[in-house]
Amino acid sequence: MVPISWYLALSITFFIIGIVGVVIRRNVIVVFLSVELILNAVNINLIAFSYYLSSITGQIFTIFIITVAAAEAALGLALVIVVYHNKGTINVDEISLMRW
Amino acid sequence: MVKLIFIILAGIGVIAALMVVSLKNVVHSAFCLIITLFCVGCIFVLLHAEFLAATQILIYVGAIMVLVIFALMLIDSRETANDRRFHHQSQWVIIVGVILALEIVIFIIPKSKFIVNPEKMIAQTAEAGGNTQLLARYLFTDYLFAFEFASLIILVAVVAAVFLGKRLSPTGKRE
Repeated sequence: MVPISWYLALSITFFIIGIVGVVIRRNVIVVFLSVELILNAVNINLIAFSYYLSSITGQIFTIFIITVAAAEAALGLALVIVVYHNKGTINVDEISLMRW
Repeated sequence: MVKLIFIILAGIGVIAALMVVSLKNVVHSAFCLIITLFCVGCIFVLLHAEFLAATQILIYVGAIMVLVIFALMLIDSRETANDRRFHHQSQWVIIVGVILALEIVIFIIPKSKFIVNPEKMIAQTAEAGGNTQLLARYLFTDYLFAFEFASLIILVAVVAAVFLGKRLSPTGKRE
């Protein structure tokens, strides 16, 4: 049986890669993909603990995370397309309308 | 044997995840993310969460990534040769990220004690007749309110996405 620490190590690897991707990339679509990576890291964690602690709750919460990710995808991509039509760019450091 | 499968899946997944954040072409990043999500789905199978593995592949790979690739079709995201992919000072972020990951993987996780008791879960699954049946039993009893609320969230997101996707008329009103 695979020890639970391996799953946690994989999860933290995905999480850090996702956070680094959110911070360093300029393209807003890649930032969005990195957020999906972070959500998947959390899903691995929840399901690993769900199995090793014999509780189904982790899997239930994973279903809700996938739901929220789907809603976020629909809304986020609509926003990205509107911003692209209005400003002609999807680089996050050039979209500074709400920066003080 | 299971450990070998886990290592192969984790290796492919991590390499694809690194390519997601480092590749220049956004479409290639999206396809690498599909590989990562597929590996995560396979890892769910290793953890005896078969329903969630199927959901992962249907929703993430089938719906979300298709949506991303459609959005990429509507956006000209090609970067010119002298355009920067990364922010300034991104090397510091990478250094901090690597230190943080190594700290947790090497120092915190091996020193932690975890309760490992999957036998009850296996018995429960066998008693309910499968992972999907067990999940449904809890989802439609204990978590029914959260389930209904999740459908409301999806509805709000879909309405908002349709509203945002409409073109603006010259008077500034959405058609």
